[in-house]
Amino acid sequence: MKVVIPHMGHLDIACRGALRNVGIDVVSPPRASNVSLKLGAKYSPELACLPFKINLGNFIDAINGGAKTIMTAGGCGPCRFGYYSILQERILQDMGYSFEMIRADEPDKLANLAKTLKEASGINSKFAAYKTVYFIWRRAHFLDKIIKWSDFIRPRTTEKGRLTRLCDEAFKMVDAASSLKELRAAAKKIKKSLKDIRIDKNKKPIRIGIVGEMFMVIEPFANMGIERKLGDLGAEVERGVWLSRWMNDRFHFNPFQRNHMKVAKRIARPYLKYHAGGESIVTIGKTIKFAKRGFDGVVHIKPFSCMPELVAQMILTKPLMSTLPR
Amino acid sequence: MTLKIGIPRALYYHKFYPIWHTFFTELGAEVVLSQLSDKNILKQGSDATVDEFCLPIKVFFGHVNTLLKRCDLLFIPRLISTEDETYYCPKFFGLPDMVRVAFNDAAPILEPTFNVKGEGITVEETFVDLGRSILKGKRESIAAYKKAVEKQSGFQSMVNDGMIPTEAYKILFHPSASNKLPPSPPFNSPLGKGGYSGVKGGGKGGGMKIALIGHPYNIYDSFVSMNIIKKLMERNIRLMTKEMFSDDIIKEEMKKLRRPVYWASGREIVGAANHLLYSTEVDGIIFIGAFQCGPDSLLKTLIEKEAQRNSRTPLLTLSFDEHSGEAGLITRLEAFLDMLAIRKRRGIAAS
Ligand code: SF4
Ligand code: SF4
Repeated sequence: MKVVIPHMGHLDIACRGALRNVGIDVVSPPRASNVSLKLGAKYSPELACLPFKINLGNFIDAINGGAKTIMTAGGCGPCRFGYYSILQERILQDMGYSFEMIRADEPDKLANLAKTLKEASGINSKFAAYKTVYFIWRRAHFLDKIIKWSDFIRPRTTEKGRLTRLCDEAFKMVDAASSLKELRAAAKKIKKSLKDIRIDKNKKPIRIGIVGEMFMVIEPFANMGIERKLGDLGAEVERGVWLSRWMNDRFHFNPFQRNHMKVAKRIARPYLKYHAGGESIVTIGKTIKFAKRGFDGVVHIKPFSCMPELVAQMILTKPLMSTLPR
Repeated sequence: MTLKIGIPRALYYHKFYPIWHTFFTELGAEVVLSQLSDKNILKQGSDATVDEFCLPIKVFFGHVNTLLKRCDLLFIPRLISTEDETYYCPKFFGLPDMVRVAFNDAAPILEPTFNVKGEGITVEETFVDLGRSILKGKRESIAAYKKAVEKQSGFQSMVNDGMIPTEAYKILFHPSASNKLPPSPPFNSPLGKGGYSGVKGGGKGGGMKIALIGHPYNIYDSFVSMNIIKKLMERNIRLMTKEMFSDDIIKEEMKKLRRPVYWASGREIVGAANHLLYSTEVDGIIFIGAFQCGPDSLLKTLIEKEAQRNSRTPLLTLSFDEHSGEAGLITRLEAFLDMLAIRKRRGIAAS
């Protein structure tokens, strides 16, 4: 079965190699472009948040390209994301498209993800479903690592073009890996090739943290490639939001990895006592952490009218004032 | 000395004031309520917040500002969920925290967290905790809570009988002022409850029934809604709002959706609107939303899509922000009412 997954960073690559094993063929929609954003925006509610419009643009592109099945996530609040797919389905239907939508209703619950997978793929073992989600996480984790390495190397090298090329190749290698063994082999090769890039070890680039709404931070099209751009300008960027970390905070695949959500909650508590949905409390916790670690700056990315990040934005002014070393 | 507790006349004041007010006064505290919203309050609110906030939040911050020096404690509940099905909008999750950032000279804040869905703490337990934070014992708090619930349900039944909440507040909290009001004749509709019209006699509206649907703080704050309730009542139009619906109807409507709406107000907004779109209870529906409102941005489209199918009740959607002008509202309102009047004359009217 062919399914389309909307773009969100490298989510499609992380899923593809894992879902291939259970007979689901993940097709990536054309990489979001301004044309497809315009199309998405045209049919979206005027004041829906940006990820909604980009998603919808992806779906329209994909269906126009012959896709019949969309796979996406639902949720139960408190922010708008949980209702995205319901309304998007309705909008696409009203546009006259016929398609099927597979929805993971509670993407933050492992059991629910596994159940959705089981239903979609027709595999009948629960274990195989869990294993598939685990493999998605491993893949996402490794893809995140590649980005992390590249964020470190980029400001320190003059071979920026080569780095970009190697990263693109690395993504392709992960995409092709169908088992943990193949993934490990790919990892080895990728590490070696990245080590080959000449870096200036003595350079102390300025350091910039990036926090904000999940989609906006990890999807380069939405944030206009800010991560790479800052790196090209000579800054070392560190993200506060990662797909694999989001998964591990909820599914605990690696029990030894810190639960970043919990840590952020603890740090942010004097300023925001309750997580206000989305990444709000992570935004605050990570910003404080970056400031304490002596970062030179933090970029907070949020789509217009995003409720959780607006709460964070309002509160951020205060912790920054009192924790930034001066 | 009695403890003075400041309650901003904004946001969920418009729904939960009876229970809050009674709870505190039963425990011997004095409730200090901010004045009615006006331009000045909005100005103070926008100065204190980030520009992107929705109108109701800005108005709320303005109210808080007027209370800063007038009370010992500010009451700003953290509304997360008060029932199993729904959450409040994320902006309510961080409301007390945001107030602390905006006003560093704020009085200490009473910030009970209502979180039935997430933490399974009942509303009663939260009130007992709240009582404890003003040094009242459990038994006292429970007694006060019982009285408060009674008052809230008394209010709710007035509303169920078709009285606009603002009018009910006048009767409940300013009995002397309400004497001057014309009697409120509730009428029966197929729902078993109806609308309310404060003014008798003719007028352009000529016995029409209209539903005003939106967040309570958008509808009942006469400054935010640019007095839409009065404007309609002066035209002798009977009004209905979502608070008048029984939960059964809302539940029924939610079942028809692919997935129930998970916001507290949103659920009632969509439920009431979708129900009325296909019934003959009202002649028209007016949806009032805040321009920068997150939930509204999706819910409005959901309702509009339903209206585009083949619903029978006309729908007008209005969105307000700081810069909305009254002239624009009147033009759109008049046009809508004219259209409804023509429909009514042609006999495509509510029963
Ligand atoms: S986090 Fe913000 S931008 Fe993302 S779906 Fe929720 S409201 Fe929209
Ligand atoms: S529900 Fe809408 S109007 Fe109410 S606080 Fe949230 S964003 Fe503002």
